This record gives sequence, C-alpha cells and structure tokens, in this order.
Amino acid sequence: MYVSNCVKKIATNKILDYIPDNIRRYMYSINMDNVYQIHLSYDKPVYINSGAGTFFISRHGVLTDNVSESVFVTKKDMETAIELISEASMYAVKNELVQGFITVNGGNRIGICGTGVIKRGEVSYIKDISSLNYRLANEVVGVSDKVLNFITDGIEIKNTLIISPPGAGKTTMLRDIARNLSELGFSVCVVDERFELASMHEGKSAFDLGVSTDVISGIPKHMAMSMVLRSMSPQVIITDELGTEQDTEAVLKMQRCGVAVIASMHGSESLENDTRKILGCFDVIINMSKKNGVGTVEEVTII
Amino acid sequence: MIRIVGAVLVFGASCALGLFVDKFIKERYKSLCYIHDALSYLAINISSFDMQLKKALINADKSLVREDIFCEIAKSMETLGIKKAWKKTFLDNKSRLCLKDNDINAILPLANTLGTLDRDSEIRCINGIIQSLDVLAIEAKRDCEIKGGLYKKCSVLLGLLIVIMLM
Repeated sequence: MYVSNCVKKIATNKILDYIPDNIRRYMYSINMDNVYQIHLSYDKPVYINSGAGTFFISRHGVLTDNVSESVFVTKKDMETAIELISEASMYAVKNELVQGFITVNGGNRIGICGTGVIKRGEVSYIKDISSLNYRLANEVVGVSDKVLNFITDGIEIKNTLIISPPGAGKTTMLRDIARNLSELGFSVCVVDERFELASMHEGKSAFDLGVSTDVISGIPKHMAMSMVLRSMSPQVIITDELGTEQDTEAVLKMQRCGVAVIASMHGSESLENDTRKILGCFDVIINMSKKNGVGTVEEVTII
Repeated sequence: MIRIVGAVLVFGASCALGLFVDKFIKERYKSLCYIHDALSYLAINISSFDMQLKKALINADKSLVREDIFCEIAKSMETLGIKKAWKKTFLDNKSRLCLKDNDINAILPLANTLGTLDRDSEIRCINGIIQSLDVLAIEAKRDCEIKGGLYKKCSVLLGLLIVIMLM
C-alpha cells in the first residue's frame, strides 16, 4: 500500500535563516521543494539530498553534479552556522548538543558532528564542529488517513507501533496521526523527548497537531509518560523512537492504566521479529519503507 | 577692559578644563561599575536561567534599569554576529563612556568566546573579565578621589595665577 502525499509543506524558507550568508546567497534561486537534507562539512562542498538525488550547490546558484563547480565550506562558515543555529548561545543548547542535534524554529533538526568533550563520564560539549546536517521537517497532512482505520474505530484506540528504517517518514506519520486523533475528539498527548515530533519552539509547535493535543518536550520518555498520565489524563500517548528497556516498561505501564500508546521504532525487515518479541504489547504494527518514496506503508499487521 | 575680559575667559577656560577632566574620571568610574554589574547579571542569566544570549544581554541592562550598551549589542548581534557586535559597540561608545584603551582591552577579549562555550566555561570567561574590571574600577575610584579633586583645585589655581599675571 502506498500512501501518497495530500498536502506537503517543507519549511525551506526557515531553514535558510540558519545557513551562513556566504552559502545562503547561492541558494536563493534553487528550488527546494523536494529537498530533505542540506549537508555542510568543513573544507568540503555543500550538498543537498532531494527526491531527485544528491547534488552540489554551484557558485552560479544552481544544482550541479560537478564537485569542482561547487561551493566549499570554510571555517568561518562553520562558525557562523553554529552561531546562527545556537542563537549565539551554545551553553543553552547543551542538552540537545550532547544528543548530536539541535532543533531550530520551523521544526527543522540540525545534526552536528565534532569532537566530544567528556566531563564526569558523560558528553558535556562538542567542540571543533566539523559537519552540520540540516534535516528539513516535513508536515504531510493526510499521510495517516489510510492507516487511521487500523488504529481506531472512533471509540477506542489500539496500541500501535510504526517500524521503519531512518528517513522513511515515521515521525511525519506520527504527527499526522496525532492531528487526526485530535480531530476525532480524542485527548492526545505527544511525548517529544528529542524535540523532533512536535518541534516546540518558545512554547509553540511548528506543526498542526490538532486542537486537543498536549505536548511535553525535552524529558526522557519514561519520565514524561508518567508525568502526563498524572497531569493531563490523556486517552492516547504518542511518542517517537522507542529504544530502551525503560521505554518499554513505561509503555506497559501506560497500557495497564488504560492509556493507548502509539509509538515508532527504528527497524528493518530483518529486525522485525526481534522488535515484535520485545514490544509484543502492541496491537497494530505498521511497517514503513522508502520503496515507493518516503512514506510508503509496506504492511499493516493486526495482532 | 580687554585685559579683564581676557582674564575672565582664561580663568573660565582653565576651570572648565579642570572640571572636564574631573568629570571624565568620574564618568569612567561609573561606566566601569556599570559594565562590571551588567556582566555580573549576564553571568547570572546564563548560569541560573540558561537564557539565550540575546535575552540575557537585554535582561542584564534591564536589571540595572537602563537601556545601554548591552541592549545595543543584543540589537546588533543579529546582523553583525556577537563577535563583531560586541567589539563595535564598545569601540563606538568608548568616548561616551569615557573609557581608556586599557579598559577596552580588558573588555574586548570576551567577544572571542561569548556564546561559543559550554555554560561553566562561559561563566569562567565572564568572571575573568569581571576580575579585570574590578582592578580597573579600583584604580578609577582612586583617580576620582585623588586626581579628580586635584585637577579641579589646580585648574582654579592655575586660572587665578594666569589672571594675576595678566593683571
């Protein structure tokens, strides 16, 4: 089953604000409609990943396959980019930085590579930043329409797990599920540990998650789930990228309390059986891939 | 008649020069105290509230009930970047704040690290500048107390001496 996009909104305009002006000026005339990643590495050419493939940005302001024509990233560009991304406040983004990314206005996520500084046994800082990967946030309204019938009958919600490899559209699907369930009148709570799902910025989500959706951000999933259970009385909790045992225990706890959980998990077909074993508590498992483009729903399994 | 007018003018000019130097010394002390206090508030805003630098700069000025250098830096950092904004603002306002080269040399190095480090290192850098300003402020206060009065008295006496000589 292939779910086609109904409405697609890419926050390309906002992402340009976080690209150093030396590089940004070559990008104004480029059509960014299908772009999902922009990559900056020190002393290397700027390249973008789009639906049509990987391209370099040329000094003439167009996309090219030729590396020699492309714009190279200087040390100053990297410093400027870091200043723009952190709003000149690296100390304020420490928690995000140690996870390897910073979420910026518009819901876009910028991955960071550099040299880690370890203090008291944990990563306290990343210095000498060498690469920045701008991941453009997508909001695809209607992407979950065709799987919604498997998740809810309008009265109750089934515990659902979405499994896919990275970049196949899990998070986009979860966002749309939150919006759809909210529109159906369910009380939805989004647990967004890594600021990716709701991309809250100054208390406001960059996406339409529906009117009856509450968002809790920046707190480890297992803690956040317990918090919202007590404080917000949700009917369904939606969260991204389950991974730890604590997450699994938290999901089971929510289910024991009568709250449905819709979550996602990294995985591929080879991992499918393992993940099912670990998270056998889910009623519906949706497998996604990039086979027919981002957002391809391969299989919906009702257990 | 001309001699009297000349004497009055010379006396006035001499006194004005003394008062100007005295005022300059006092203003320098006030400015150093202001920058010192604003940096202390900046450090608090960063360490206690994890405030974004722009907001922390504005709040530092607001805490001192004024809208001055730090607000100006906050406004210009969006277009210039924090490094340039910090340097430009202090250099542009050097005369207004009656700062000496030594003062500026103590303040400007913060531009190289501000907003680029983790919180602990950031606070350490700001505290380093605050300590330098402490030394300069003590020196400026001593200047105020000793040299300020001296300049005023000397200028009046010098004026009187010239007047007597002219008469």
